[in-house]
Amino acid sequence: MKTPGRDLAKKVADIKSAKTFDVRSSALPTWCPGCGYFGIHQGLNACIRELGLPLHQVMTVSGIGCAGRYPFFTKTYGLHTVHGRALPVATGVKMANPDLTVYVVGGDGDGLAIGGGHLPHVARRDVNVNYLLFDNSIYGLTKGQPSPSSPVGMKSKASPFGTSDKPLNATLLALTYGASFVARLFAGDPRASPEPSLKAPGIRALRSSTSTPRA
Amino acid sequence: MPGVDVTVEVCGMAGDGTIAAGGLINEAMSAGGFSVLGFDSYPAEIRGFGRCVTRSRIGDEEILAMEDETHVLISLNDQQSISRVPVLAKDSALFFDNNPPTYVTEEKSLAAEVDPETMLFGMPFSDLAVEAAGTDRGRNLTALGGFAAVCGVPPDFFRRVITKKFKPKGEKVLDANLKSFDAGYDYAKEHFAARLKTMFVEPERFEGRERVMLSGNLAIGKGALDAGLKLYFGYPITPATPIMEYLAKMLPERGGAVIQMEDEISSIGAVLGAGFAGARSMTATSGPGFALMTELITHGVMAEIPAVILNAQRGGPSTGLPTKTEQSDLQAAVFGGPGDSGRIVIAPTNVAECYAFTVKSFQLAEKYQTPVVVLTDFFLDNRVENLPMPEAAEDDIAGGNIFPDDSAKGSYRRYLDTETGISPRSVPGMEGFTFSATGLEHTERGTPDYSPDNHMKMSDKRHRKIQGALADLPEPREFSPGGKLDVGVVGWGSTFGSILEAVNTAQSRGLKVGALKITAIFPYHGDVIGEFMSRCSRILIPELNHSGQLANLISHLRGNDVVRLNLATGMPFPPSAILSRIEELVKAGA
Repeated sequence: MKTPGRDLAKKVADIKSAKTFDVRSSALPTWCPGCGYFGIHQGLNACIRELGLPLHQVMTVSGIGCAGRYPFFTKTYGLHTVHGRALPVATGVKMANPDLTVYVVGGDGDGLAIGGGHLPHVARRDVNVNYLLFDNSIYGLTKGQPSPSSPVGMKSKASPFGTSDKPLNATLLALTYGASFVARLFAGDPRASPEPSLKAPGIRALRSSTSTPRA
Repeated sequence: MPGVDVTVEVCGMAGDGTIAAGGLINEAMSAGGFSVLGFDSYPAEIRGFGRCVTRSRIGDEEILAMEDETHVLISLNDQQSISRVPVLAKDSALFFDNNPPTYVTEEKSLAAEVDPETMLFGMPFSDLAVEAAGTDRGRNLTALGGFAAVCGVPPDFFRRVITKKFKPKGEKVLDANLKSFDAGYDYAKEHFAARLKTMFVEPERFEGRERVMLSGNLAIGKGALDAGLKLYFGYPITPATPIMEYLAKMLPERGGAVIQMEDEISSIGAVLGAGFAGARSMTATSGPGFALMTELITHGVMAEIPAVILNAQRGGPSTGLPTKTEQSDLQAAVFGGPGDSGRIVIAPTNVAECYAFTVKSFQLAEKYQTPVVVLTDFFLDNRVENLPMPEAAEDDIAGGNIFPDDSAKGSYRRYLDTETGISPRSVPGMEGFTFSATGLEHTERGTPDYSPDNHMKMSDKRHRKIQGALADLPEPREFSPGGKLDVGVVGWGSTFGSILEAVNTAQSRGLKVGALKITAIFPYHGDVIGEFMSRCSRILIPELNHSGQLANLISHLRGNDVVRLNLATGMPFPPSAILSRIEELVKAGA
């Protein structure tokens, strides 16, 4: 069902005026309607607000993919890097200015495929950053190829006969690598915000299971 | 009295103390006030199955390059040293162990292989060392004693540097080494008194001026420290590793840190992150690592983030020749990576410039908000020169950041399209200036925007900015009498020392030739280079690569009419090869 234009405009105005969204930037998210990322966005914004973090002391670092666009949708400092390299870049940011609260956001392709080699090293260095892995088990931005966490047998244009590769379990990986705090969240429940994690020192890996809207 | 210009080699198997002996020669002659250029050759394998050779060129004027010929060979292993016979000058001196003689074969000895005019100094290195110190471990120092006695080096210079080197290992070790040296010195004085081959004659030279022996790599490390480096991220690779090792020792006490990352991609990633957050940071690598970094380097270009990347070139492509020298990453440094991603590339030609350019690169990176690539090569990184301890001027260390002023609060445009292309840059923590940087094409505010006009405008802004950096880059330096020249030789990197030596010799033979040193590789001073080229009948560009990468970049300034002289041997460029090409060109033009 399509939302009429004026209703949408009103909705946007409501969102902008509501105090609860003051971490959001004026840029509208590019995510598809119904995307689970909206829930994560809402939860993280609420978390930053509740912790009372000044926005200029917060830095959001991302890679490439639908989650890569995240920094544009907040009022914090942001750095949208290249595919898979958000964690090393965030390492540099945090070491240069330890006073910053650093959030690293990225999808399962960014964090488990091309950038999969960085998580163990960020964990063993115990870099004090928060890593939010938006795990929707698909490459969304390139329109639906299987990702490292896609289930066996997933059919797509790139896997017309179904994938044969076994999926990775991001939570188990983070635990194995020795991240100091690991949690699983569900994007459909924004109130389960990542806030408690901030009390733990060192790398915090948060895997949020989410979904991508089907065309 | 002709000036001193002597090349001394020590050759042996790994484990003979060859590198140590060569280092002591460099230190001793440097302390004696001579100019020294030293370069070692060693195999890539960690446990050297092969031979080690150190070469030291010693003179009383500035040494610009390695020479082809060797005047003194100190052989610690004759079987290895026989390979050095072809480079020995006609009337050279050979020091070797004569008890037992280490025969190359049953019939032939090293002494019999060399030219008959070679002066032979056979000494029982091992016996003398055992007799003096109870062990033959100091036989390399016994050999040095013989060299000092015969060639006229006051023994105190060796004693002083031996003391400096071995004192930290305890009195016993020091005493054994000093005794081994003295045994060789006394033996040679006694046995060779009638046929000394004095090469270092002027005693006033030995008063000692304040000079230090410094390799290119250490000069780079010291330059980074003096410039206020805070964070170094790197991954081990020959020949850049010594920079990381030096900084790992030195940086912590200055409040900085060295982080060994998981690969070169993460190294440059962290450098960019730290640069974005306002800290001076760098990485050093070689060709294979640089190739991995190129995507993120172009991210630094696009998002306008300061970073310093040192590429210590080695032989390529791929793994190539890890312990050999080459100048084959110029094109990768200037053009490597996706898109039109202009960045600053500078290339020192000697150890002093290794220091100065490293210092300057941080300021350039900050001012022009861009990755700066410093291109060195294996020969430059590993050779040692003696020079006055380099120091940086306040102006060169000063921060280059241009921060936004308060009036921009609330309407801050991070990528403001200014006349110079330089936009005031905020760093995280500054209130009122938050923004998101991106590798996507973006507007002045940093918002992604792929519209045709915007991409034209922002591409133009970035290139205008990089071209504008020319004002802060070192101009080409001409070495010529000026005016019309028969041959002009243009060069860069470690090869330039060889060029200058060849051109100096050609000039002393009355030829109308000149040299042009280029250190700003990109952007480059096209007007200055073009003007020089227009005054020369022929242009010669010698490079240590197969295709002529500098020639590819600048020969259009001369209508592509340049003569290339390319060597892909993995060895420093021999000045003699350049000299003979100059003479051919002059003759052909006459």
